[in-house]
Amino acid sequence: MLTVSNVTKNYGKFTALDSINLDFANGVYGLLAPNGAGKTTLIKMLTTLIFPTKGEILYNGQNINHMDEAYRDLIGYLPQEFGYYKNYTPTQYLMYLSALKGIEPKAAKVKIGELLKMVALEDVANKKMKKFSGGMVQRVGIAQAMLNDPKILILDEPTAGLDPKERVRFRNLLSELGRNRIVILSTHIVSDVESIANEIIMIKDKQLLYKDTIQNICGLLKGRVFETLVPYDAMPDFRKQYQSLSEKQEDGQMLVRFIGEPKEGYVTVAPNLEDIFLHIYKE
Amino acid sequence: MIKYELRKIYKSPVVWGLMVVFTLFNGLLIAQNFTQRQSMSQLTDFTANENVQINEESLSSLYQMKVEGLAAANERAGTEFESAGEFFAQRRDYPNEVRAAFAEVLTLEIYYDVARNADEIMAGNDMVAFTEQQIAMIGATGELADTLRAQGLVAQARIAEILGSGTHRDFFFDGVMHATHSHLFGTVLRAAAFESMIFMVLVTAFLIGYEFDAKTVSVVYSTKTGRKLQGKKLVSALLAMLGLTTLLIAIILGIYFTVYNHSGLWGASMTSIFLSEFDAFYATFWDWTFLQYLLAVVGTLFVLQTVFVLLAFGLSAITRNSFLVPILFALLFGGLLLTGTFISAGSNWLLYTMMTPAHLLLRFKNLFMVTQLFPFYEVSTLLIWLGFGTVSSAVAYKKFLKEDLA
Amino acid sequence: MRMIGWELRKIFEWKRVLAALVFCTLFFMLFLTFPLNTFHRNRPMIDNVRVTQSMIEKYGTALDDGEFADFVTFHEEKSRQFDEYLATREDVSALGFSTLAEIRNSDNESPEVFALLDTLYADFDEPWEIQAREHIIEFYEARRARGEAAVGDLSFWGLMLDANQAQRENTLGSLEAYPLFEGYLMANYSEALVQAAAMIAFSIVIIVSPLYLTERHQHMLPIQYASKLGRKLYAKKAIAVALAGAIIALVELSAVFAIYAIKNGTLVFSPVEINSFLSPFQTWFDFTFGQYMLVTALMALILGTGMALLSKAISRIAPIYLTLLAILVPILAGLIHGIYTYLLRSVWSFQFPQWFPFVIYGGIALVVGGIILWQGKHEKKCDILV
Repeated sequence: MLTVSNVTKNYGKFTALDSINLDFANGVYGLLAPNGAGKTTLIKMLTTLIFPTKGEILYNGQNINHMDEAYRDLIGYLPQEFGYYKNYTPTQYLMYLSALKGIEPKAAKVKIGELLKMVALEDVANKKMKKFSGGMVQRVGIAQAMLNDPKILILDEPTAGLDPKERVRFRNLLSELGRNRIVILSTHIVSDVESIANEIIMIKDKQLLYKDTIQNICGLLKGRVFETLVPYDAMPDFRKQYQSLSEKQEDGQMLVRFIGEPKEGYVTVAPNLEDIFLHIYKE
Repeated sequence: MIKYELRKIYKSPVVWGLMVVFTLFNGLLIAQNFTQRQSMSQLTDFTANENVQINEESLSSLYQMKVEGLAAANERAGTEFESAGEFFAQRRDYPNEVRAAFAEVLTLEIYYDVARNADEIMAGNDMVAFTEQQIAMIGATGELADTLRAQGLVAQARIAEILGSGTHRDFFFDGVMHATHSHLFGTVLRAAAFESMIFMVLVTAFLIGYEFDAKTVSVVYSTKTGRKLQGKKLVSALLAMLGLTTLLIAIILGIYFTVYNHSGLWGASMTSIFLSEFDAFYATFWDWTFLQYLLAVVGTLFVLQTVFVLLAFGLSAITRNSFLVPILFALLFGGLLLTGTFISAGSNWLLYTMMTPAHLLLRFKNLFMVTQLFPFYEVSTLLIWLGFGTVSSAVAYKKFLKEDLA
Repeated sequence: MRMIGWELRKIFEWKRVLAALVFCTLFFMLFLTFPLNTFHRNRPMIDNVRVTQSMIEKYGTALDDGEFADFVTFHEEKSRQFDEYLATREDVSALGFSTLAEIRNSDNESPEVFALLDTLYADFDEPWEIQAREHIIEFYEARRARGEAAVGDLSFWGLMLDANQAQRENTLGSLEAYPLFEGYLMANYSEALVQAAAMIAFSIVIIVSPLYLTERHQHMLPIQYASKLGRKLYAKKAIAVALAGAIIALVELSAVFAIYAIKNGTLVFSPVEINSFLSPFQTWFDFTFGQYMLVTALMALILGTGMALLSKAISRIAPIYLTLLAILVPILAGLIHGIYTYLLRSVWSFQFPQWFPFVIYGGIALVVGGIILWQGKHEKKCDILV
């Protein structure tokens, strides 16, 4: 169990996060918030890159910073701007990282082979990474995060720059991995987590807003999300009246998904996570 | 656009930090001659009374001062030395004030002796023999030896010209005593030239590689200005060179001429018999005053820095890494100094390999002097290298316009 | 160990190693050829060296009074032989001379006399050797003739003596046999060593200094610091950097020493003590030349390692290459403009106290070590922000 206990992070007079309390058990957690909300700050504290100003983070009751390498041995981390040596091949790069992770070379070689297969890069194992596409580099990133078979897998904006096909592949992989470990996926792309997360964590105004199942979170807007067709010239007024969640052109009019009150012509639809996201973080 | 590029430079604390470090170092260099100040001021006091040229009047005035000074010093010491030279040749210990008094007289004696024998001393400078020495030192033969000998004759003709016109009869700080020429030009200004070069290479490399280091390549070079920005960076580097070098030189010369008063000597001829030092003869090819010479040297310094900026920019054709560009520049500088080692000592090409900005920088105190390789050595070297620099910059720029950036 | 191996591999990246190699070649040709290659062209210094070398072969590494007397006899004999030859020369007798001493000491400053001297010195080694032997004899006699030095006196080489220095001066002066170490060897060696140390410093900066900056630009720090090894990587990097500095220093020193010892044949002087009547450089310690070379080579190695660690420390804090170079260039300039001369030679001079070199090098180790330790401590606690 990974516990974030009353954690606050200040940078001088600026507060990035305020009194955050969270518990993580095995499963996939989506850390969903817009850019600048504090996701990366939380992630960096979970990976010991920065330290809480107040409060502490515990793993099985022990402070993770006191645990030192014993804790880091348990984590796998894919940062937002994933750094690599472009003149290295994936094999060389993963061997270097396995040294950092304290994995013996023999065992590392075997593991690297398996991981590259898992991320479908076995054919380019000995090709220099400077020739890789963004998606391929990102897959190497996943592979390195899994090198030490981590109990806690932390991924910060892992699908940024990936095409839809790669995103799907990614989601499937994570779903598999989340069976017997804690997976924390930080993103502002709702579709990344919608299908695989056990729980969603939302941060707003530097504090924890929700930590709950998708079903429960979506229930917040139950019976309040509608769809209707609106003529184009009526759209400006409509938008002033209701919060528009999405707009699509259909049959010469605008099919609008919005939050409102029941009315004739309005079709009730089941709220999804994107609706909640847009509603909560509207300016 | 150029304004923004310049801002990257002048907003950098590193640039100002370096300026401070260089200024402190230059201060130390300037102070090296500090012990000479007292006796140097004796000359400026003398020339302040209109005694700027060696003539009967000034000689007589100098003689009078010498005699009176000696009498006063002897009275102080209770001695009867016939000259200050005699005082310093003996080993008895005297109080500091006495030594100082005789030191002042010694200064006057030296100026008087040199002034009195100005014509003989100037005539005694044998440029032909000097050239033979140079030939022996380099081991020059054949065509090269002939070329050098011809230049030796040109230099000798210049000596004759100086003697004829009498420009050597201007008073100036005695070179053997004070070595002011090699101090100002060979030490202080040469250091400034090196410092400016370091500045310019670092700043140019910084500007060239800026977008690549900041990872703003995709954004910046896809704008309307686009790749033309690289040309604007070059212009900015040149402007920065002007600004920073001007500041550096202004500070150095400001300090130098505040510490070492040169009043009355700005119009002194750079062919003055006093200019030469213990093992070095100095006289310019042209009839320049000290001020004109100083301006010419400073001008050379600025042109040199322009060449360095162009060459550094040219190196960006090979790499834009702002660490490797200065390293490559240093290798280029060293390489230029060594090209001569591969040329036969019988060929004029050896001479041509010495026409580089690196050689100019090292021979700073010999700029425009008769001891230089030939009369228009500096101008031709600078012109050739301005050409090289321009061409290499143009090549680098053209390459940049066409190559893949991301 | 494995981690250190990886870090070393990153440090010795081929582009920078190549640049350093080219640099060393150029630097060698510009600055080291003079002390190394012109060794044999430097007359009369080289003649002094050759004569002392032949004396070592005959008398051993030091000269006592009996051997000195023998040497004087030898010198007189050799001079006489050369004078006998000169007497047969027409150009010598035409000017009214019969011995070399007459020509050298003549008041006649005519061009013919100068030309004769030029010819004799150009065509024969004997005049140079005679001069060298005279020099040795003059200095031996002068050293022997000096009485006990007291506090406030000047040493044989012109240093004002305090109590300890006077004692050392007297110890050296009262030796039964004076070491036969020619001062030019020390001057030449010191110059070569200082230039070699400067070359090492520059190549270390080229190879080692971009280390951290490059990693930061590549966004490697979060991944590295979140791994099991984590912030302890700093210590591994420090070890790797120190090793790299030592390796670079060792390789370059070996090359320079090989050329120095083999090319110039100076190895023969290794067993000779350096505190000689022929050498102005006097030290507190009874080093032989070989020991002195080893000790100073070790000092150059230490300085190289220190330079590497300092470059690493600066690279960690410099945000851009401009800052890195702007800090390193003045340091390098300072090193080559006197600091190295001071650190690699002057420290051993007996004008300074006996403890001086140890304190200086201890100080350097403390400062550099302190910086690394402080930075390492800071690394443990600092936020790793992108």
